[in-house]
Amino acid sequence: MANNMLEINNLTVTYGDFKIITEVSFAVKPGEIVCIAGESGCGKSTLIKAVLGIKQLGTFITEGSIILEGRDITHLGAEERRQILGTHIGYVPQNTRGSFNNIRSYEVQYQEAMRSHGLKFNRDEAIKIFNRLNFPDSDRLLWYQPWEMSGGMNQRMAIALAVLLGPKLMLCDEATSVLDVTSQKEVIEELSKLRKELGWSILFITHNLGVASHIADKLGVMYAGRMVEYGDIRKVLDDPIHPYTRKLLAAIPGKDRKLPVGLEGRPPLDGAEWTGCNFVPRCEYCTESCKTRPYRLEEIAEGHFASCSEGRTV
Amino acid sequence: MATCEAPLLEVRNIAKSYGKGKKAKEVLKDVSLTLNEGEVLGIIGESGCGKSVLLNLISCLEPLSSGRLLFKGEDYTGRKPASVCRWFQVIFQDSEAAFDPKITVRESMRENLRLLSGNVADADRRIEEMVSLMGLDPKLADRYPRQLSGGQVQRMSIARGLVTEPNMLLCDEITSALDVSAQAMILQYLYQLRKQRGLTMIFVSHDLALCSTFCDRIAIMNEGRIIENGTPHQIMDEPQQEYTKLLLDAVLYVR
Repeated sequence: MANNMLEINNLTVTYGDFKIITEVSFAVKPGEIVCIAGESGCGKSTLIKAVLGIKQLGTFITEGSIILEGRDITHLGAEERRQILGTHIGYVPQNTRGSFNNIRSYEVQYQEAMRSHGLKFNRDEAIKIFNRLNFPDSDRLLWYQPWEMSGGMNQRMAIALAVLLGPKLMLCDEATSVLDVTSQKEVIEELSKLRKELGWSILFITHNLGVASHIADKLGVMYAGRMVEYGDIRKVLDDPIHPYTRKLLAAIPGKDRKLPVGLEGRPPLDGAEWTGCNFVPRCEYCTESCKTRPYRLEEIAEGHFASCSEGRTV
Repeated sequence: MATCEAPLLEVRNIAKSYGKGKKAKEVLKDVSLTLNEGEVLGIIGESGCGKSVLLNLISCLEPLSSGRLLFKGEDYTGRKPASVCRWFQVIFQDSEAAFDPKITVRESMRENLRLLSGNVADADRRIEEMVSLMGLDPKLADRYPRQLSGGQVQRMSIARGLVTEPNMLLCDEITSALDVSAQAMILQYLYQLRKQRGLTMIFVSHDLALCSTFCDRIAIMNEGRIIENGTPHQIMDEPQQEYTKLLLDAVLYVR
């Protein structure tokens, strides 16, 4: 089993007594990019918090396990956790404005971050990485302070810092969602490049299937705390099985310039606690049995899992 | 005098700079555009290109540095925002912040009506009609803004804008903070409103793919100038400017 970078088995996460994620399982192989897509509130960020294990954020893992390179990290203590964060698991949040101090130079903050992980900061090494990622003005970047930078550039500085710490697994939580299209594309290209050159594994959370289709090898679709479809990106996008995946795809403005089709309502907040399918209230194909049939991710085709295949046109 | 032939909105060579003397920074340079009744214009550009400033200038929220603004042929440059908000209603990206958190959505809408149209006898009926037109249950209007989802608040905000029957809706990145399914819902309802009421709109966004689905014309902005202006077909299939091509290239369609 050690050939998986990250393995999530049957994970159930709660905030207090309230279930946020139930029975989520998947694996990230070395050098693989796995995207998790879904609406706001479906539990995709909670998934990342569970892997990072930041208890202060209120996530508690009640069932299942998270395995990093064969080592169970589900319930690590604070000190052990600190040793793997950054150097083994890198993290790029949605808004990196909050991760840097706005009025101190990047150099100082880079130094601090490296020191706290027991590494030595080397200017030339940092500049080498900037060059490799095609950052403009790479010689002077370290002297700047975050407030002088655009959102896109700040995001890229956070990625560069993550590279310096040398993790093997990167967690990106909507890392491109606040950026405009041009910087979004740059960041996506940089991440793909890093994956190729450094053999990174990336767990990439996004609500934008367009972004996912350009970067991912595997795609998981989450809905109200459950994984409803999972598989190779081409299989999921070319032949979406779950009604929700199809709705999600229809909502994206496409090349044909047709008006996208939306999805009325919102996911149930307690969706993870339901016995039957939790997409029933918004589903046009649902039958009486959907309300009671317990949730289960079935392998519909090879390497392509879905919890429902109602209304699928083959 | 206003003539029937005059376009609904005409923006003539407007410019805007912040700061004075040597430190002055010009954020809008010589922007001109016209908009006819019933037309939807998309304005596309990266962050910081001046697209939001342009909307602020059109709705008189900020004074111009130079240029002229005409509404149905009538010059309204330099007027107070209160005197033009009967014509234009602006919808912002973060609508929850645009609602008073201490009163219900319905009360916010009533206030808007009272300020703009005086005491209207059938205010509640008009509010409910507008809310249902945006595809929401009128009962939701009795909730507080924080009790609604992001997509619902945004649709309420559009309903609030339309309840006073403005001539034009100015939308500033109204779907950027929403996820795709909520975004698609908003577009659908706006599209229906267009068909039913011939709504005129300026739709500011950074998403070219989105604008191409429902705008009549698209203007591309870069560094304070409109560099290209045309139908979605012209912009998407036959872009003339390098920058437009760059933007088109960066659109990530689902493959």
